[in-house]
Amino acid sequence: MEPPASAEEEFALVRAAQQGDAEAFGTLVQRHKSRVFGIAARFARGVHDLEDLAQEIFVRAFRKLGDFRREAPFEHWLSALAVRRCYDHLRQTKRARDEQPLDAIEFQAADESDARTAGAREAHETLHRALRLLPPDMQLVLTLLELEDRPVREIASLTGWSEANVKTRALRARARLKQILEAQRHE
Amino acid sequence: MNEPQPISDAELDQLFGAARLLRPETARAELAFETRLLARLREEESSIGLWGWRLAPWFAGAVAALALLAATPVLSEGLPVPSAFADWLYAQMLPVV
Repeated sequence: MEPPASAEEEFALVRAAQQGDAEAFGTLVQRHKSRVFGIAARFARGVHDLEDLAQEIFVRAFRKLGDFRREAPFEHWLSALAVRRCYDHLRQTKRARDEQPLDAIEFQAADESDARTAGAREAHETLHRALRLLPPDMQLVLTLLELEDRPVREIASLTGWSEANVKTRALRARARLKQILEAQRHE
Repeated sequence: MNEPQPISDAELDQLFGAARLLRPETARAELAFETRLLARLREEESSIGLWGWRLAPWFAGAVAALALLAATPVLSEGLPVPSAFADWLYAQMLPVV
């Protein structure tokens, strides 16, 4: 595993990548791919879709490296880019969301022997089915807020929405999700 | 007819709390990802280069046309290019009219 990079070292890599150094960009990818895969896996439809989505995020990052300013750490810039690309992905694939992919992404507990794992799996399945029926913005905000447990402020910064907007969307999304879950329970 | 059972906020929070115990397993998908990505980037770069070569004759043609235009006598008199060109064109057309 790569040792944690200092801000200076990271910036030097970004500068080198901006000047076309593929090896420097490769190092950046290696360092941050887990973060990007972690975000993309929440929105991808299967393992192949995840690979495509992750590649698109990094290709876009490579093309937009010139826009990177040192106002925020590189990982934050990359995460924001990943979240926005995932949002676009949700909007583009909303018609195909009902289909269950054959190569579904696995979700695991940190401790698989934990007695709560079975319940967690059931909760995950229930929520996954219901979340797919929400509009993309609601799906995005609930995933980041409730499943990823990110603070409102961070979500606002990642999505480019205001904090008030994030809260409003989350409130509406919860209400809509409840309706879906109630209807599913009734079936 | 049975009404759907309402779900409370606490129940929804409990559902989210349980689901949070699970994280996506992406280690296998991440294997050699940078190799595949860099190969894609190289491929895209080379296809852009290929397009550059394919468009080269068109650029050459455009440059030759501009050079020809610049070499016309009216343009060399120091008039602003658009009006000089218009005057020159008008002069060419006069005998016809």
